[in-house]
Amino acid sequence: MLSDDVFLELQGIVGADNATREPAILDTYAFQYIAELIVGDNYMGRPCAVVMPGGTEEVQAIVRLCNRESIPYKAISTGWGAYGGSPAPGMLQLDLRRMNRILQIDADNMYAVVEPYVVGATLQAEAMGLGLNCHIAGSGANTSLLASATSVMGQGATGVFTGFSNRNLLGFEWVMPDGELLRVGCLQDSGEWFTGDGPGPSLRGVIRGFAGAFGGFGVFTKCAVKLYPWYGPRALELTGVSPDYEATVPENHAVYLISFRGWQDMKDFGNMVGEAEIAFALIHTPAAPAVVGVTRSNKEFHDLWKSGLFEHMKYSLEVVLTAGNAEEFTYQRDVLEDVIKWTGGKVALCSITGPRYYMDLAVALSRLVRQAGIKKTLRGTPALLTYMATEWRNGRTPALFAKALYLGLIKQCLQARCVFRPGGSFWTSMGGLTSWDCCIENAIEGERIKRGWIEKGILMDDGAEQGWGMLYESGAYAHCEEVAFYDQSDPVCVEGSMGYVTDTVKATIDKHLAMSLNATGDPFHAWYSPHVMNYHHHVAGIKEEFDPANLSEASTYINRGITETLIKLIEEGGGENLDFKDILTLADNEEAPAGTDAGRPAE
Amino acid sequence: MLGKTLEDYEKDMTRCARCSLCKWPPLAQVKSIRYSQVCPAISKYNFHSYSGGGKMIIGLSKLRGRVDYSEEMLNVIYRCSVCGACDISCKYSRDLEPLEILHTLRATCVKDGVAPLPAHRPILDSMRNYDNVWQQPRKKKGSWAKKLDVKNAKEQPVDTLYFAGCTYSLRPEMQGIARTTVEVLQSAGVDLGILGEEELCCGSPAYTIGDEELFVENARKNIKALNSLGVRRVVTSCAGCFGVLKTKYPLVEPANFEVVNVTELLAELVEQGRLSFSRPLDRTITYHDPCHLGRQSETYKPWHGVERKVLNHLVIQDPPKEFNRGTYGVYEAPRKVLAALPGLELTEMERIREFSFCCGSGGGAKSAFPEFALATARERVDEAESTGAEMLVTACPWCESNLSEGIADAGSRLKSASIIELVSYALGGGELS
Repeated sequence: MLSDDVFLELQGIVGADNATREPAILDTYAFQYIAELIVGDNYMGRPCAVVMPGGTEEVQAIVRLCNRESIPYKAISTGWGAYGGSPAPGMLQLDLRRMNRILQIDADNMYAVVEPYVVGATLQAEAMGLGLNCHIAGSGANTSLLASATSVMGQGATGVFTGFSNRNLLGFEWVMPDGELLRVGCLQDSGEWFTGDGPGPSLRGVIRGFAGAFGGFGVFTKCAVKLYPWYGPRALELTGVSPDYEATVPENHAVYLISFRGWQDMKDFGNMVGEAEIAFALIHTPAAPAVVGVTRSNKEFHDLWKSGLFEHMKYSLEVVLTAGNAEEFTYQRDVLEDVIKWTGGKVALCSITGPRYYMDLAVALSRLVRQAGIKKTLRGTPALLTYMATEWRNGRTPALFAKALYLGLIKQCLQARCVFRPGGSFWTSMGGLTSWDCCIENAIEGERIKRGWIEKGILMDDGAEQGWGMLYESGAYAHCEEVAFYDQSDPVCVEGSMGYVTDTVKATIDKHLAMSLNATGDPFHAWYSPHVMNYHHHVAGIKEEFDPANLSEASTYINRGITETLIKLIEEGGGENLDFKDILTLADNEEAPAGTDAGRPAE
Repeated sequence: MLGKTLEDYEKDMTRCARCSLCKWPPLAQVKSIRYSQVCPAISKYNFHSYSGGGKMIIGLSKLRGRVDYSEEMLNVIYRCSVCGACDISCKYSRDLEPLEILHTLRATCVKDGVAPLPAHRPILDSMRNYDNVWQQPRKKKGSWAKKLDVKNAKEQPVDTLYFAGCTYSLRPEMQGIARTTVEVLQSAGVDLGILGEEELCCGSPAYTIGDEELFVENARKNIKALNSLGVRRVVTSCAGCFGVLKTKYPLVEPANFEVVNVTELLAELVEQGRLSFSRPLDRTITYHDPCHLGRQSETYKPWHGVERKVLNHLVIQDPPKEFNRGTYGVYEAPRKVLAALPGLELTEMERIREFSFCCGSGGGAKSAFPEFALATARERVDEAESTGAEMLVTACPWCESNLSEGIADAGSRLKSASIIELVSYALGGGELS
């Protein structure tokens, strides 16, 4: 319970209109995606108040006040996910929506300085106007660039060309957990933002490490992200009306959807294209969300999906080429087509105009027929032909699908449709940063595990085909995550879905498949840390050093006491099925609740 | 939608992913950071509760007994122009109904006796007592047409009824638009009639504020009256009337007439060569899509099915439900008319068509929260100015009035006009400001 005096003080910092204790408003912060998996309800703990600071000084004043009054706090920007809240009620929520400016785009040095509420869609729109582009995380263009870069993972389809969010983090401004301000990287020394490393402190590893602190480590108020060349128009030329938009594929650009005979060919193709440094985007989208992406409703998706044919498009990759001139484009295309040939790939869709559309489609369909088997093909073909005829009657030719695919990959605008429309919600697992070959192993193992949970009726039956994967920095590494769809309004799903996550996490350990992309929070640390040099000591040590009062709410970051209790339980054989709901109980029983320094280890 | 309760939408409300897509235009359409917001309410008030998703969460919290009514909660619910932009952006990706939920939340407030807000009561009382929203005697409703030679549709059979609406009929500064509309349509040979003082309010304000009982009462009276005329079609130049006649009346009772907006009729007349434009406008203009002419003008197809799950948890509607996603709003007709006018150059704003930014006037916002309505108009005026246009043209009296206030408040060089004024000018009649 926040006292009236403290609330008045908060209002004094941010202005009366930017602070509230109104329960109806607070609930709109407690309600969060995947809360039901963490606390068994759609609502996380209701915050004691929400404040919306307008700048760094206000953030500092709030954090200092929290330290003085021992109030746990957490900041969100676009605020999408239960990790933005707290399982326990009473935390002060900082909503950084008012900090929404692009402070600078340095076109010469190719970086942008942004505040927390700048999203991929807006920075990309502005950067394209200058012949530049930014990396947009796979969560979509509606998410905060700063949050992605400083506090969570943030991999997206263009990673082969643009790296990914935490690698693109240059200088940043950090209100540390005690309210002190630190400018990191060259920013500290020169006032410039062009590198996150020195002269001056380089704390990128400290503030985010592998997976990020998910808001549990102070508040990041500004950061610089790297920009990349954009060899395209200053704005994409769009046609269509919602929900069907398409973009004209510019000159010297192309988009391909390529299918392969099996995992090995897909592996080889990814590695070769990455190494050749020709692609702007390179991504594997599982068949079910891919079909969701090109349909307008679940009904339309189901009509198409039940043909049974698309389930067999599991070995496929989407590629975008963007070249600065015709000569370069010819080189890129020739290399790509050579690699397609060498790896036995077949082009299912390509934006390069001409009768090739239909030829490509016929070839891809014939492969589909071989993979699905003749019986399934005979059953599925009428549904597919009906769909295609309807689409073509409405003017949606394969050319338009190619344009829609291009738009989706460049603007990262269809993610929410692909993952939320089918069942209402989704969760993801695995997806560690590793080699592309290991990613494929992830996909194979993920599919096996997921099939079991589909058979139990917990997850949506998307054919179990899995692996949302892509390569980074010319294929130096990659990730492939295991997306699963469920209905958050269905108790069966809520009760069971975390079991799928548990199984996949265990598989990454047992099969040496790299740490899960969401390996943060005490249960994940408890599973992983004993296998990775007990890293939790190091992470907890950092947290305790910077935040001795443990007020920067860390339920999805680290709490040493809880992590160690869980490790013991797992070692003793009783904790293998623990999930976040159990953690809450454990946290309640801990002698060191948040807001005290008793979470420190005994000296 | 009419007669629904929050219970009917519990699944939808629970399935909000809090992704914030409702705050932006459909992501593919974001063209700059400056004009990247699509929801007037959250643009001004910032707390998540003001977004379409936020209001769905409030509905869920109310349904589950987590919150009770308070002044602040009602502010959140009513500081909104019910423009439906959130609905379009959400449905770019999802099969949810944010706008229907917002309406149901308001209707619940009215049923529970905590709404309408004090500022809305005079409007609804005026509808009950005078059949118009402007607290004017019924007899005045036909005064705008006194000097016109136009048929009374009650006395003579006509092909097309012009439904002028309260604002064009009763606001002195707007009456000229109604007269011009009649003159232009008659000049093209349209067999037109009006109802004059017997025309009733369309009921739109009651619907948007959440007073379903009053809306249904109005709608029934109107449908009965209009059906009895035997007209082939009803044409409106008020986007608010058009939206409610076309999309909500079918939910109340069947009608035996077609509802068209004047821009659709003008486009048809242009195509048929029945309007001949001779006078060049020599202007650069930008066009504002009114919400109820654009994204909210799709006829609602009542759906009485059940939710079914296939593939374990794929949610589909049985029988299939046709979602209104703004795809088939009236976007082309006004643009076709403008394109036909000589010497006129249309330069588009960033937020147009189904993701147009609202003028800020609707949903009772103007009467209860004038500062919000004005701030929203200012935002739209700023965007219009950014195009370099000299004139901001629209096709709705509420938009025109509120945008004019925005222009004045901003000290903008823009002029505002209704599309029919431009048509009339190009035909050789009237002058433009």
